[in-house]
Amino acid sequence: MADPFYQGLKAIYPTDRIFWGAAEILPYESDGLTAFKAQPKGIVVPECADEVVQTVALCFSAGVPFLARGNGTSLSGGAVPVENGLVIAMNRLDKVIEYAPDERRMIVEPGVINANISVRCAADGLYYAPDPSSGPVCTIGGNVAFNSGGAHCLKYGMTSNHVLGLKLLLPTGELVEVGGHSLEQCGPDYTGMFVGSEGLFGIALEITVRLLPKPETYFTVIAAYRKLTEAGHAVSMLVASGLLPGAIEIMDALTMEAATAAVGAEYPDGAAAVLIVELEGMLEEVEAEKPLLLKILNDSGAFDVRPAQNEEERTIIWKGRKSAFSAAGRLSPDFIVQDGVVPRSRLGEALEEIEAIAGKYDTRVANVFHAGDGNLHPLILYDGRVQGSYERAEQCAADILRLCIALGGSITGEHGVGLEKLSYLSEMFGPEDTEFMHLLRDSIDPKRLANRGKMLASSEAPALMTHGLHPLEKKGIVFRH
Amino acid sequence: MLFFAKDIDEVQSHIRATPAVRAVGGGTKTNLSRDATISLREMSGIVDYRSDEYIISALAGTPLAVVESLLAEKGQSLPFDPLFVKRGATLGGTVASGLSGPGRWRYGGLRDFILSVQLVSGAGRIIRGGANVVKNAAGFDIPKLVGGSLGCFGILTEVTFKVFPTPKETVTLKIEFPDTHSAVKMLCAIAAGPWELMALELSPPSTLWIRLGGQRAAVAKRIDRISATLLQANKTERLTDDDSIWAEAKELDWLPDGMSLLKVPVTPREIVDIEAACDADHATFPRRYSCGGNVLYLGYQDDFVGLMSQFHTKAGMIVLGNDARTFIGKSNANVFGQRLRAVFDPDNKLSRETFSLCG
Repeated sequence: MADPFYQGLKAIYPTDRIFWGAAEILPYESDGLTAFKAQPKGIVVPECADEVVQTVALCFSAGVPFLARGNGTSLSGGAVPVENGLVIAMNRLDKVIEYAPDERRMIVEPGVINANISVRCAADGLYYAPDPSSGPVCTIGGNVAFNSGGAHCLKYGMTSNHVLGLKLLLPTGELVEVGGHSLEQCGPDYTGMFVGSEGLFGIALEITVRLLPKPETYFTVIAAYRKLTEAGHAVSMLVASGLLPGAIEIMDALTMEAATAAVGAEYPDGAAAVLIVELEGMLEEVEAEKPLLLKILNDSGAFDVRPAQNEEERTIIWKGRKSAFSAAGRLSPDFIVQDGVVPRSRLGEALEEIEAIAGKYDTRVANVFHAGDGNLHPLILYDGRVQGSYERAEQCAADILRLCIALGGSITGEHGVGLEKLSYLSEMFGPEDTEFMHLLRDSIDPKRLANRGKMLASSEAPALMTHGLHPLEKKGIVFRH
Repeated sequence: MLFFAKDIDEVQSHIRATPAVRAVGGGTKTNLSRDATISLREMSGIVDYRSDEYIISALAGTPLAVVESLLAEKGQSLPFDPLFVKRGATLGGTVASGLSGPGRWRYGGLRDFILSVQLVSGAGRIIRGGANVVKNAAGFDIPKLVGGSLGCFGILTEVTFKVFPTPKETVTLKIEFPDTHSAVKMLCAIAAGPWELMALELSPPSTLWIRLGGQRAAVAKRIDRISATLLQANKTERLTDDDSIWAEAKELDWLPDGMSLLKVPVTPREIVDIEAACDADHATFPRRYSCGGNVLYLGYQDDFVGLMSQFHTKAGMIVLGNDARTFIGKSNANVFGQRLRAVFDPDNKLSRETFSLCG
């Protein structure tokens, strides 16, 4: 092949780590949000940081856009390839560079799987707090790029709150180290600025995370309500009480149906919604908080309150909750997951509005959310084979996002803007602040190569794919529960 | 001459008309607001406080004391325990200096609680970043960038923080160890355990302070178990009415009047060597390790030349005093920061000397 860019890659990689041509690149054309796909020029699989550095330098000199990809679990289209760009598959950069249990710190490469950090430090009584539902699959590099959250953000924050330092590869090929080993630092917080930049500021080659001691005990309760709004009101009562649970989650009837079908989770008959609340901490503290929590749940109109009696029951509750997205596949051939945030006290109002919006577009919406954060995850169900179904779902999603903006919230709590919410960033921030973000990006990436077309709208729009399984599922590489 | 801005328009006008701009709030971090040109003190007031949302927004010049007393009425607080509340520190100055107090240990520091900012750039442009909800992943995280940036990216005019409920009851243990080595060893052991302490500090040479908070029914039992598990042989003093102890810690009251103050991020492993260097020096350095041994606050009279061998690999900051330097040790200047700043401040107006050192 005469393509000088390809020749340049061949100088860095053996041919078995370059994928070039239609058949070989298929698994990479999409991510967790299967509505989008794009054809990359090719894929490279580096095995060390130096190969990544050389690759980005080559991209910069050749003007080829690139996407650094972990396991492609993004729900916002953040890991969809740049059309005709290069995919740098980071999975093999999966080493733990340093583990310091005495200082509760780990330095990892970006391809390390989120959940494996906690596995690695479990014997020392430590864990890594951010727990996105994709934790067993997603990589820490992707978590850093998208500032991933999870069910425990109210108390412990998101990815950015747990990253102490980074070794960065800028889109220009330059290396920069920011932050450090300490929980504190002096000067501007460049680490915080990089986390959540959706790949636009380059690639994190080394990530220093802080680890937390595992809570001594948990007390996890499921409370069932006849109305979804009652569950929303219970959240306000919990917050007003001064308790600070580790997690406060809500699932509606449709989501429960899906979780039951997918992983066999069981919920009280007749429940329109369940609230999952988890207390955690020292034994004595949790014992003292238990009666306070149970009283609030009973006072809030719950008709059934079921505490998990042991770790096994707790695991089942969380398995049901965390399966919600993939379980939605049981309800509908296709769905869009939204990620808007509303002020918590307006949850009830938001839920009623979402119901009205769903009715307006004749679309089913399953609701599951991190209620403690006001972070909604409406699952908008559609069948891409039915003409007009996807368009209605899209309009439904758009109305829900605009609702979040109107209520004073955000268009994304943890999935990022990606491709999916490109047109809403400027609605949330206004044209001037959005333009300023473009200027910031251009200062770091003057050629707009790094994950071009994500977060900040540009002319390169990907093809839409309105129906079907994820390409990795088609190939039998990944499975849903 | 110091200009007192009354509103955001006046901040914009000042920046546009002034070649070198530096902002001051309460002026409590004396070394960080030297040669200030604009004061934000008259831009003071709570913009929005929704206790059920755990959110408070206020103008940058609002004194922390005002914020804290309002929060206290609802049983809430800023969990990162901002410094110098009684001395008159403002919200904006706290963000710009990036300083957190003893409570940083439990849930995180200023960076973990800042949600949104409004600032005026070096070009006089009003910029907003973040959102006024407790969780948000949209757009670049400008609120985090400006934490600790000393006004290099813009003059803060409004800030929103996440707040938390204050524990109903607290108790403090003061524990004496025979030497620094054993105190640090215990500090690390406690830090790795499931005790959920609010604060964990070391007063050299060998006194540990730990603070526990929670439900009234549980705090005494928890502290009993921590003592029984870890601290049997050590001299331990239990202090139940501990608010005043930690209020003093937030003011750094242990620092003698007139002394300069240096902040150095460290890790617990480094403490023993730093202590040896301090002991070997002919000068005296009143000091304290906060946040589980992750930050050293060190007082000095004239200089700390003898300690530089300990600090040269770290980026430290001189908070109090009248020192020509702002940062010491390892420079954290890098092209990532320099290029971002060129967008915020194209004419290099804002805290210029500071940025040349830190950016």
